[in-house]
This record gives sequence, C-alpha cells and structure tokens, in this order.
Amino acid sequence: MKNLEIIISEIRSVETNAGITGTKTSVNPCGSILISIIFLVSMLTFSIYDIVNTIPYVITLLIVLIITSIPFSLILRKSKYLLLFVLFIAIFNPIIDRNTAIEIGSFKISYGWLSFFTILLRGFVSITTALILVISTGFIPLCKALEKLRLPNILVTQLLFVYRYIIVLLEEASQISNAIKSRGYGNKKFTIKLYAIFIAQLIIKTYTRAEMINMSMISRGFDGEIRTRSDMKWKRRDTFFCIIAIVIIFILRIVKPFGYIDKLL
Amino acid sequence: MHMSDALLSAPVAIVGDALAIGLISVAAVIIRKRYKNVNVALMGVMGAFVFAAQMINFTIPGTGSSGHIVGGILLSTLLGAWPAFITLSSVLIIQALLFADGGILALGWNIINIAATSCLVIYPLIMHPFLKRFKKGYVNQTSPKKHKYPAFVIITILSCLIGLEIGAFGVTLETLASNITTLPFGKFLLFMLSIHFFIGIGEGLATAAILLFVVKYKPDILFQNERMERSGKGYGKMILTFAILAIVVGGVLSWYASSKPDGLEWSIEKVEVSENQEMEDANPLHFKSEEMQKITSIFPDYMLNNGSENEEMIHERAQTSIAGISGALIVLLITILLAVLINYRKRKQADR
Repeated sequence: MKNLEIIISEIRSVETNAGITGTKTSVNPCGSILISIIFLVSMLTFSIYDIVNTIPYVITLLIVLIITSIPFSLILRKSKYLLLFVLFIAIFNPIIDRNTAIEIGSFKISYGWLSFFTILLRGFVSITTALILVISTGFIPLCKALEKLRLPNILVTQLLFVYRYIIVLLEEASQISNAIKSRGYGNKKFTIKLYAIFIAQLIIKTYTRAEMINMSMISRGFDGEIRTRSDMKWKRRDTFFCIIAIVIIFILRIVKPFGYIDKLL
Repeated sequence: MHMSDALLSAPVAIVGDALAIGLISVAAVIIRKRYKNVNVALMGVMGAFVFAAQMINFTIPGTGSSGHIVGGILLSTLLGAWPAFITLSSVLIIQALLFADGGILALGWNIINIAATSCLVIYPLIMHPFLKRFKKGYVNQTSPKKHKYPAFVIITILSCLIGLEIGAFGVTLETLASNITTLPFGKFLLFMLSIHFFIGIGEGLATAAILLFVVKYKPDILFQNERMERSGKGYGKMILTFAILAIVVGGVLSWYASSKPDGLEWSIEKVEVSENQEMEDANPLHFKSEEMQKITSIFPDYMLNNGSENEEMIHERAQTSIAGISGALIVLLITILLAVLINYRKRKQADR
C-alpha cells in the first residue's frame, strides 16, 4: 500500500506552491485557459518528426517556469507516471521505423528516434502547461472561469466538491489503513478481501458524511447550485496579456524561430 | 490508461474535446430533467471517494503486481448512470489538472474512454438490468439469496472488463488516427487488449467484492439511486441505441464508403474536365478555393490530416473508422441538443 500521507502532501504541494508570492498571476483565468489551449493545439499541429520546431515550445515553458518561480522538481515529480505510459508507446517507433532521416557525418538519426524524442517533448510540454495553469491561477478561480465559459453548473459544482473532499477522504483512508496496520500483527499481505473491506468501510463512512453534508446544506437553503461570487472582470491588462501570448504563439507556430536549422539539414 | 496530449494530433484532440463537452451538456440537461432533487453533495463526496480509492492498491493474487480500481462501474451502481458520468468526468478533470494525468487537450478522449464507456454504455446495458432483478429479489426476501452472489460477481467482472477493453480500444484508435505510432494496428490492439484484460479482471473482482460488502453492511446505499431517479419516460435507452448505431455505422460501414467522389462532385468534375479545361486553368480562384478546402477540412475525404504516409490498409481503416464514428456522433449530438432545445421551448410556452 502506498503511504497515503505522502499523497496528501503531494496534493497540497500544488496549493502551497500557488501561495508563493510571484507564482500567482492576477490574469483573468478565462484568458489563461484559452491561451493554454491555443498553445497546446498549435504545438500538436506540427508533425511528430518535427523536433526542431517543438524545441522552442519547451524553451518558452522553461522561461515561464523561471519567471513564475515554480520549482522544476515539482514538474518532474508529477510527470513521472504519465511519461512512463508515453515512453511505453513511443519506444516502438525507433524499433520499427529505421529509415535514416538526418545524416551528420557518419552519425545517422532515424525517423523513429526523431518521433520518439518529439513525443517525449510533447508530453513534457503538455504536463508543464497544465501545471503552470493550475499553479498560477489556483484551482478555485479555474472552476469559476469554467463556469464563465458556459460549462454546466453541475460539473463545476462537482469539481468544487471533489476538490474540497479529496484530502478529507484521504485522511479518513489513512486512518483506516493505520488501524489495519496496527492491528494486523505483522500481516503485511494486503489481499483482495482485506482491500474490499477497507474500501467498503470507506464507502459507508463517505456515505454517512455525504448525508450529513447534504442535510446541513439543504437546511441552509441550498438548491442544487453553488453560486460563486464572480469578481472576475475582464480588464485592460488581460487583453494585453492575451495579445502578447498570441504573438508568442504566432512566432512559435508561423515564424518558427528554429526553422533555419531545418533548412541547413 | 490515460490518453496523453503527446499521443494526439490536433484535429483528433479537438474532436474528442468537442464530443466530451457535448456529452457533459447533455448529461447536465438529463440530470436536471430526470432526477428529482439530485443529491449533489453525495455525488461530489463520492467523486472524492473514487479519488481516494484509486490511491489504494491491492495485490493481485498469484502475481507480484498490484492494481487499483477506476471506479466507473462502482460509481454508476451507487449513483446511477448520468450522475456517475458527471462525477467521474470531474474526477478526470481534477486528475488532469493536479496530477497532470493526461493533459488538458486529451481530457476529451479520456472522458469518453473512461467515463462515458463504463457509465453510459456498459452500466445501462449489462449491470443495470441485472441489478434491478438483484434488488427486487433482495427486497422481497427477508434474508439475502446467497446463490445470487456468484452471478453478481460474474456480471460485475464482465462489465468492468468490457468497459476497460472498449477504453483500451479507444486509446488504440485515437493513437493510430493521430499517426503517432508506427506500430501496426493489429499488434498494437492485441497488445493493449491483453494488458487490459488482466487489469479488467482485477478491477472486476475488486468492484464485486466491495459491492458485496456494501450490500452486507449497509444495503440501503445500493438502493438510494433509484429513489433519486424520477419514474416514467426515459430517453436514455433511445440515446444509447442511437449511439451504438452511430458507432457501428460510422466505424464499420465507413470502411466500405466509396473513396470516389460522390454524385455531385463527380458530375462537376466531369463537366469541368470535358468543357472548361482551359477556363479552369485560367481561373486561379477555383484552385485557391480547393486548396483552402483541403487545408481547412479536418477530415478531407474521411482521412485525418497528417504528415507522414502509411500504406497499411488496416491503418487506413482505423483512420476512416474514427473519422466516421466522430462524424456520426457529432451529428447525433447536434440532433439531441436540438431536440432538447425544442422540447424546452415548447414547455416554456406551455407554462405561459
């Protein structure tokens, strides 16, 4: 069993990082969401053999990381599981596709390796973009922005609820797990039966908790919608931010700062 | 397994996101209409529960490895299909944002592969009919019928397994349609399906065991989603039938769709070739527009835009399939949205 306390601190790490001064932006979250999407889409339109034009995206993100002072180790820690899956699929490309793409002296690079590295870079860019988005804006402003972008209220309510109760339930789970450990008399096997009892207990505890929350919410006049105070106004600096970001994306996608390398090869 | 941004091309990712947003809006409308006083708190806290449960691994007997549940079938059993879909989608969104599982653009396909298949397709088709009978037997009997438990376990394993396999199939199709891997379609599919076979059985066993313990300790949890649901007309089944039809038509029949130009295109081509050859040459506008169309269309002649060429027939078929399926689903979604809108307006007028 994983150590649940570590996972709790892992989740909190995003929040604690969001609290560091200089990390949090005052840009309108709607703007940051749209810019992140445009940024990623523009990268994905390059072909997977186009490593030369993918590298500027990585460099841009590294610069943003330095400016926002988000620790690089956090990104690496978060990305290890996902990159494993990406690696797992991408690794077949160099094995199968062995046609030579570039020849520098006697050194040959095949198309397979080109696509392999491009896919890994893409994975890195997508993870980093998502993390920068959530750390720089904070999770709750993001949810408000999603509501502003016309996503159904019930989904946004769910997001807020799940986010609020993750840590509560993880703590509950860690209590049960500690109880099992302390009364297990050294029995370290976590069999499927023990697991099922564990999770069933957790469901029952969750259910009772949810009933209480529901009743207390209804008694305070809850009618199925969480209303957030919308203090998000589109200011002039948001327009300014969007224009600058779009210009940068335009340079990355259309002007291609490293395009001349392609011509050299 | 989570789909990742890195394994998608832009058009495939956008199609997935559009589909997912459409499905979520449909789900929101249906929940508002069909479920009286939805227990939003229960849905939300259960979502957090799934999140916590995914962090706890069990050892798979016989092997040294461990697994965890995805929770689609478990959530649907506890909450009902549509609320479970919304809840699982929100869990996936939070995972994408906090744990960087997948990425922002791959979210759409993740929601479809993981949440929509298990909650909206497998649960209503396999699990729900059985559960109905199981509950009826349980209520009528003073003591639970023990001989029904093996059937319960088998049905749960089956639905978890099929749900995961469809999800894996989706990941394979999407990766191939994006032209990311050079792995041949057949091998890739076999590979993904065989891995997910074992994961599916593990998840099924775990889900069945959990549900049986819930039935034993606090059976009313299992019955509460029925209380939430409004009795009467349901168009869930209708939508489901159409969705399956769309997938079959788009996915399989599109292989046989003619790649030759359709009637109108053909006749225009013929007229232009026979009569206006010179005029066409002289008319740069025509070329420009054709070029523009080639650039702007996402599925030029049902093939997804991409750089490199792969000659394999099956690969082409996969691409045609995904273009067909998404086309059919988009049409279906637009139709449903229109129907809901019209219905809503009618009711509003009737209220006046």
